[in-house]
Amino acid sequence: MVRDASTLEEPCYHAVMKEAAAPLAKQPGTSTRKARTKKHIVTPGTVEQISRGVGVTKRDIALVTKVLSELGYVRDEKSGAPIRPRRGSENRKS
Amino acid sequence: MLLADRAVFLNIPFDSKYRPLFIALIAGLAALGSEPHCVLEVPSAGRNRLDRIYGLIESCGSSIHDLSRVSLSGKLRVPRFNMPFELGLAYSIGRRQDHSFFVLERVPHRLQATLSDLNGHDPHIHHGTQDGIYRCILDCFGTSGREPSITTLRSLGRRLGQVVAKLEREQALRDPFHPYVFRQAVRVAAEFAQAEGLLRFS
Repeated sequence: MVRDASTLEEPCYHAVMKEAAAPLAKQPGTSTRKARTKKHIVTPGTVEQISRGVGVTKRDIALVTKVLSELGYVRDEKSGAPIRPRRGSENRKS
Repeated sequence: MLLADRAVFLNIPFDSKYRPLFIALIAGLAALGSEPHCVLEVPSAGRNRLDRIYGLIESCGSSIHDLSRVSLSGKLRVPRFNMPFELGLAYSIGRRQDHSFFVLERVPHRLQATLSDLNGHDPHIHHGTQDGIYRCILDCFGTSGREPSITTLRSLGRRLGQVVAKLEREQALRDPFHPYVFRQAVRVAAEFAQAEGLLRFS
């Protein structure tokens, strides 16, 4: 005799088991698998807000600017050409 | 005071093999406009270190826990429990306030063996690659701003890696796991993200 597993009070290891979730799962657009992750939505900060948040110092900014410019990531707004500092210019007295 | 929803606590291993993934995490999170934090910000010799770590996690709206390092380490060849412990702190914080935590792993199904108490929380598998990290970040986080593509994240990560390598050389360091390199890397990543139009100008 086939009994509905969902109505059994005792474990149904020896009974022929129906899928308890079948009526729901067979509806179109439904899935037995729950959503994997609820995304955490971030309100994006600005560079300054993020920097302040992690405690970036003026010294950090100076070093970052120097390195970015040496690697050619700081570009002239008009020409688009990389602005590279002259060698040793950071040690020179103005 | 941190703005909780964009502050993300990173619970990650600090070893040289993890370097590319560390760079990818910073690049990916900055591209979403979030603010990465990690335990490097807490002085290792200070008093009340545990309280300060707890406070740091508590001040973040979310956290990422990469439990992919399950090896024995150090002279005594023992496993280190700091990372699972910090995951436990995040879990506890998430029970009483708005805090999302995400677990990363390199190998599928391994977490069921290493931390079976967490069964029911699917880890995100990165396969030990930067691309894997970017996919995990895009799976776990969204932004109310412009969503970056994986191609953009790759480009940001590649450039950030180059700049961080130079920052390390400039400061005579062999790895980026130092408080100031972390701060500088976050700054660079945010500047790159802004240049890509992902962050608004202040």
